[in-house]
Amino acid sequence: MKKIVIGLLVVAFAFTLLMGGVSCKQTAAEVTTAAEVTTAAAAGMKIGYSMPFIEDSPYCFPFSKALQASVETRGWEMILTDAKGDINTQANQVEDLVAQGLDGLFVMPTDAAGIVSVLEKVHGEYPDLPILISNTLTDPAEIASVKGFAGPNSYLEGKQMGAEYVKYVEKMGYDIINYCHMTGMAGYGAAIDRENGFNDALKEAGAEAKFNMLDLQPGDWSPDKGQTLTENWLTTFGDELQMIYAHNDGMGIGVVNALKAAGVEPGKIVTNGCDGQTQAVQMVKDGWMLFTIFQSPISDAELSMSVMGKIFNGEKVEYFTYLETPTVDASNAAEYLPKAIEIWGAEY
Amino acid sequence: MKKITNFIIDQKLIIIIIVLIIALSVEDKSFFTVKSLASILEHATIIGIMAAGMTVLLISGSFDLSVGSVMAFTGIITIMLQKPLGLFLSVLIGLIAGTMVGVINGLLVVKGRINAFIATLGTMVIFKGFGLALTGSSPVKGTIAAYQFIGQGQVFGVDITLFYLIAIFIIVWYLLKYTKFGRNDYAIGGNILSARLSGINVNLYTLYYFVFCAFTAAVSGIILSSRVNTGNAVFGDTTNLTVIAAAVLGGTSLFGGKGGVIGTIQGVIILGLIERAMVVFNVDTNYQLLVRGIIILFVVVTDAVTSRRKKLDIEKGVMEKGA
Repeated sequence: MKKIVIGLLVVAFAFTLLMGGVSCKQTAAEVTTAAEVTTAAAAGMKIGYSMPFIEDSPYCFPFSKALQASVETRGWEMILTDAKGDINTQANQVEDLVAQGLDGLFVMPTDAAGIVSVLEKVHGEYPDLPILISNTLTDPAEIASVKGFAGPNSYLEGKQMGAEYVKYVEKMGYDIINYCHMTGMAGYGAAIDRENGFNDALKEAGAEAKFNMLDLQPGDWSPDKGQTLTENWLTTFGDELQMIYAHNDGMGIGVVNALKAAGVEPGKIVTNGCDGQTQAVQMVKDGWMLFTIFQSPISDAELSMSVMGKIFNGEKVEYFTYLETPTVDASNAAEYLPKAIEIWGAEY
Repeated sequence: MKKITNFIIDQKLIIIIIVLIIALSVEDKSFFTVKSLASILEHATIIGIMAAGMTVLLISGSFDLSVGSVMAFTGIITIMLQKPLGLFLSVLIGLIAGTMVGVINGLLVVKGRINAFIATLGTMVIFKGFGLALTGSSPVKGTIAAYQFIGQGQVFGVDITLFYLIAIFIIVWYLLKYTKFGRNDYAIGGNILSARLSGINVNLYTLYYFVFCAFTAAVSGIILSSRVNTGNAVFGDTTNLTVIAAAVLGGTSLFGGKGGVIGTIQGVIILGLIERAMVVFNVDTNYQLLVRGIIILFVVVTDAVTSRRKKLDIEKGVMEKGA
């Protein structure tokens, strides 16, 4: 018995070691950035970029490739670290990075609140080093030890999605709509933001009373979990269920797969995505999803680099530089499909 | 000749450490300085302290998957209690709360006769769940500025956390070498039946080892939550296997009865040097896991091979004497 258990443990350990390595076969199409190098940034700069994960996240992998491409076009040198989702590892890596003598540091926080005191410490030791928060906002959003933030605003994305649903309910003339709310992984910033943003959008439109929430469950960003959860909801709520709000494409794709398997007509139960993956854009085009939010990891990476370029050139930058995240719905899905394929590949 | 190869194999961890330090010093001129070398240990504090506790537990033939959850849970309790109870009491209650998880683990294993893998997997999930429930899934932020000194303060130009690491390792080293706590640990892990027959209260001591392991996780929880001035239930999601890896890398056996903290600290240092090497050599992140995996497997495999060879040598010796 003991040997079996130890065997299990060894397998589990080997598995975690291999995880990242295996999942990186998720090759996004060779990324060729349409580098709009607006600023003639100084060449030969050495930068560090601390990422929370790379291969473990479908978004971060093409993002990291785009960073590399962007750095090459600028003639910079980059050291990229991967914290594997661990705040303590990220804190160590940030300190190791700055010890290498950098001209600029980018941090994509693993933990929005936890990273703040780490950055304060680094800023205290290297007051002249420009630090830019990239992709994920810190908590509080504005802190004195960094130059600014560049990336998407997941709270505004949540609001954008809420507003889309409000529009839908008005268009259909419903007095009330019964919906389920599928959140991202509990405890992670984007999940909290997309929940709050959504609820605030309903409040601001005065449409709160029209939205009757049947259930709220975490789908952990994953298609599998999204599918299982939807199957359970279909069994529990049956015809009552009219809408499922999902925090990302992965879960939205899971929702649609469950609906397809249950023989539900497209559009009878509406759902959505957020990210603009190929599959999701296709589902919008086919009428399975009401909309998705197009958040390109390539534009996201390019945005951070261009803001740092401005800082290197001594230009003044606003603290917040938000990435544009257009809504993809039935009217423009055909137009966005080739863009999605270029970023994520045809199958993803 | 055989003596030399044996020496190299026995001291392979030290040799790996020296090779890594030389390689890093050549590549990065600022590496071989007190500040930079100290930072390897400073960064290893949180994993290292838990690895010391895990070593004690592994020697007795058990293990604990819940250390990451205990670490996160302790941080949450401590930070949440700061406002109502103040600095001292919140830290004390946080430590007690985290250590209590070890009592639960130990009781499940010795009284409930539940396998350590299953029991600690259960508490791992439960206490992450408690953390999520207490915080409503959002991070909680510290309110007392002085608390941050515990994890961020500097003494004599190095991080104060370095001293916790050294203190814990000296304590565990002493306990294992000179006390009943340590002798019984090896006896239970070596052969539980003969330990029981020789009058050791196996259940009581196994409980002690679980409690001690959880205590070190609670200490790490205080340090981490102070370092980032935040408590969050998702901290420590991947910590348990890193901690077990550090101890096993240092030669502590997963089967119990063998190992010690001197090996563990070497394992912790190697993991820290590898992390640093990834940054200094700017290793492509696609290859980082591969490099880590190869180094860990190399050490563990040579360990397995040499211990088998030593066993054969002893058997051969006994047979020759017998003849």
